[in-house]
Amino acid sequence: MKKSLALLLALALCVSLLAGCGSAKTAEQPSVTQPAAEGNEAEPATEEQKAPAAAGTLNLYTWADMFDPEVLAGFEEETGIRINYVNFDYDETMLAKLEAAKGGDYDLVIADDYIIETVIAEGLAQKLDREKISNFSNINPIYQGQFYDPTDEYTVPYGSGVQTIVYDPALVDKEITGYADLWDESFADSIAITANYRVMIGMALKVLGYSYNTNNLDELQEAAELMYKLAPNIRLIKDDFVQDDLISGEVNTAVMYTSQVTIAKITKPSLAVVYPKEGIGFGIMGMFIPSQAPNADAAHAFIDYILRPEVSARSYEYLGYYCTNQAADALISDEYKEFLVLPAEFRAEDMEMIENISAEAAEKQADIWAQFKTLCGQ
Amino acid sequence: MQGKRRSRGNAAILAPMYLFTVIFLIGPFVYMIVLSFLTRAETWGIVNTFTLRNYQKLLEPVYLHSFGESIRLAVYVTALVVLIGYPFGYFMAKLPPKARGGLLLVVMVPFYTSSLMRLYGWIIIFRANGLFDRLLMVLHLTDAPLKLLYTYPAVVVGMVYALLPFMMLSVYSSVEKMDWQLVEAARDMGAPPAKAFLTITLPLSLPGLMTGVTLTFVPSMGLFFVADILGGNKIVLIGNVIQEQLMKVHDWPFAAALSVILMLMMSLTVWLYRRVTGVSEMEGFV
Amino acid sequence: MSNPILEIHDITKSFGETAVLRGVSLSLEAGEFVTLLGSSGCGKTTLLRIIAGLESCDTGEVILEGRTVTNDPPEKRDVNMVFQNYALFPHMNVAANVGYALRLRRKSKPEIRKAVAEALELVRLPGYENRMPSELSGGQRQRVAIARALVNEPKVLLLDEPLGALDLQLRRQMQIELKRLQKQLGITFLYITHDQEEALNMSDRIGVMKNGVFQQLDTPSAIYDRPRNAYVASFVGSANILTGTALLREDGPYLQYAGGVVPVTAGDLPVEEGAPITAAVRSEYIDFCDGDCEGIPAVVREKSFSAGMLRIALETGTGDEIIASRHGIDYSLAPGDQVRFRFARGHAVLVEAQDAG
Repeated sequence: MKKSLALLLALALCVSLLAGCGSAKTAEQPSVTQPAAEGNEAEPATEEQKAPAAAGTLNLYTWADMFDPEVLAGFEEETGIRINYVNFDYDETMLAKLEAAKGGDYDLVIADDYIIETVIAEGLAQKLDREKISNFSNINPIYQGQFYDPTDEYTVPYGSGVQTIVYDPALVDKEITGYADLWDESFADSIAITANYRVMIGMALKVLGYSYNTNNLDELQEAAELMYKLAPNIRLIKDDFVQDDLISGEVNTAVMYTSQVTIAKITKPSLAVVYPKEGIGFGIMGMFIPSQAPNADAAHAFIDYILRPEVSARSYEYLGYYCTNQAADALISDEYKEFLVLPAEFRAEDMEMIENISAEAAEKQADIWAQFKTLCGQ
Repeated sequence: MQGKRRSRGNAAILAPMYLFTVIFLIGPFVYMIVLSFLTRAETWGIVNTFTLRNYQKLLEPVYLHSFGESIRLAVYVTALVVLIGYPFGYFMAKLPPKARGGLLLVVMVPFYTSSLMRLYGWIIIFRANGLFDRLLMVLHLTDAPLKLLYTYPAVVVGMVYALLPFMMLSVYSSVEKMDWQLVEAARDMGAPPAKAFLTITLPLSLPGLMTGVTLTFVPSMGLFFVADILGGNKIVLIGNVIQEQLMKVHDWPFAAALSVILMLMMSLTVWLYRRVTGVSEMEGFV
Repeated sequence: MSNPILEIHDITKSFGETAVLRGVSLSLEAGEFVTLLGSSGCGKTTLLRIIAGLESCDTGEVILEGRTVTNDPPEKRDVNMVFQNYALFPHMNVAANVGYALRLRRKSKPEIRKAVAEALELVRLPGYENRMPSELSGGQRQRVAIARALVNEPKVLLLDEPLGALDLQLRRQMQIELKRLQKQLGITFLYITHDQEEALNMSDRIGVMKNGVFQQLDTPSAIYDRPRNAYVASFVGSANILTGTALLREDGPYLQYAGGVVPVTAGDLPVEEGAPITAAVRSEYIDFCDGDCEGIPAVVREKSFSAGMLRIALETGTGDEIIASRHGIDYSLAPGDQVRFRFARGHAVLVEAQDAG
């Protein structure tokens, strides 16, 4: 009796191991691409030239909630391609998975700019076939030619975000015009910031007039000293749902991502958004196709679909990030325009992208951040 | 003949378990130790160069401080858990069986829900104009929202809440096994109830108490998501540092080194527990 | 009449619906060895616990040396208990166990050490101070428990079946030890057992309990020779209970039973001609006679030999079983033999037909 029980347990153990392997595969196993000729008939829809009908499945790999479900449904209906929406939490996880799959498993990935730089450097992305993306010209040139893909051969931008300051004028007497204002004593224990240390330390760098991407350790040390003085003003550090604390009144000022700003403003229009005068760091999310993507055709078709003005407009309203599709700008509804379309007076010189820095500088920044957080907690 | 057959049969059954343990427990652990001696690559990944730099780095004040903070928090939390959990477990064990069963259920039910969800529950209670604030204002004790959330006390409350059941159950199972006649004998010998408790009940329930202490102290050194969520990420515990080094900074070897030290600290605590109580099995562990 | 050291008046106690003690009264003189005898469930342990203060009584009083202690907590009563399961503190060694009470009373270390050594000497366990209870045998643990209770010099020592878990030989030994101790120290013992031999051997008085009341509270010889009712008669020693009708003759009352007539002693009970009476006679007092004597006819059913006694089972004409016993081996009687049995008047005593309570 005892022995058969032990045997049963041992078997259960083995089965659980296998089950683990099995399910992972089925979750990410794309169906074999069928030759185009056997694909479903695509409905003739718009005047835009469509990519040749690619059938099967599209393995879409990005953060959750990046797309309006109706946008995805529209694509599936039109093309007959089933979308397998797989999520990751962190860019780093995505990179690790992509490395393990040697550029396979996924068809279309959307991730942050800095990680795409590494992806391309490791040869895990394939060059895009412009022939298959008819709407390529819709892309807003401001977002092209950036550090991670200078020749725009690998990526198509999908939304851009900047970190801005948002505050509640009802609770804050001062008028905030830039980062420097945040150091004011009146903000003791009332500011929320995100946990993105590059951007946050970047605030100090900008106040001092340095680049986000400096590798100069002395400049970083100066920024460190400045940051430590900000510590008493920080009430909380959080990546997700920072807007909730601003809306509820837990804090009266926050430095947040664009999508969070959008939600905050829609919920509480009285909030004021500030584009800091010292300059803004911004990031672009890029769509790319892994080098060994099982269904690259479907990926191209999807990119093209997204680049349609009306689809773009819909998507960015849902997403809350800056619209990278110039042709769609006009279609964005008024209430969203304020924060999805860059103000006209914006100059490219005011914007700096946050790029990868040297290992030494990164380490220094990490140390500064750890020390800063410790000071915040005291 | 029979002995040999039996040992072969046993080996066949035990083999998958050994395999499981080696692959999933020992393997990753060895990997982590090896990793802690390697160097990080520029932006991503590792380079197979031996270095002691990671261990040197964790001697820097800011990281030593976070070790200190982790221990300090663990001590506070454990002390509070003992103060609340011991009486609770003790009285629970003295209840009549029916009431006991009901109370046990109440203690266990939260385990069925995700601990993360329960933490968010605390946010709803603590945040500005949340339940607690409104209660105080209704009672006219305060007239403006208090800043309860994102403070050190909030983190302590959250951790005590998360770890309390372990102490309660350990103490309960230890006290439940007690021979109450010993207390009667003590009373008979002239001990007033308090003295009888101190000299008899407390020492005999010590194994359960120590198990509870270990079950509280060890996790609370590493439980970083409470500090994240309720502390607004301002309390820098070792767990937080490890998570950040791994996910944001991509310094895997350093994160591995921190993890190794954390594991050593936890092992030390367990070893101390065994020395102090002279217990060779974790009594009260279900 | 000297002042009794312990008095209990009319104690009743119920646990829920069950009445465990139904009016028990007892008076103990200093230096007495009194045993409560009865089978399990008769309430003797509960009574002891009430005296010790570990249990409260519903009604009644406990008076210790003239002071009412009914509502006092156990630690305030000058009585100590030796538990059936010894209740030694497992986390303390023998010295700590024995000296526990003294430590509570803040006696000095040398005093405690001396008292502990003396107590261990008394129970014949010298030098055992540093042993742990887990290292001791059952008998040794029992003696440590006794030492622990004695070191306190209580007014009354309560012992709850202390020898119950020991084997026969050890038990006999301990009985002698305990009796010696009691005599030596002059402490009043209130002792519980279900073993009637133990009770008969050790006690100054025995209280036979059944159903929460005393059936009889008397000296061992009185209990043995003059049991008050059938229960007491059967419980102590081996007795035959004969129920029949009374016959009054010149020389005293007789019992008419199963076709025979035998003499009986009335004791305190009234006898009326023709009234139903019950007599108890011990097995060892049964004699056999030949056909023409006045006895009770019976058939020999069985002969067996146990512990040095020959046991003869007889069956009367009414179908009752009578046990006769005697020393030695008697080959003269065989199963199937017709005999008449009788006994001397002094050996058969009338008992109450009903048990008390």
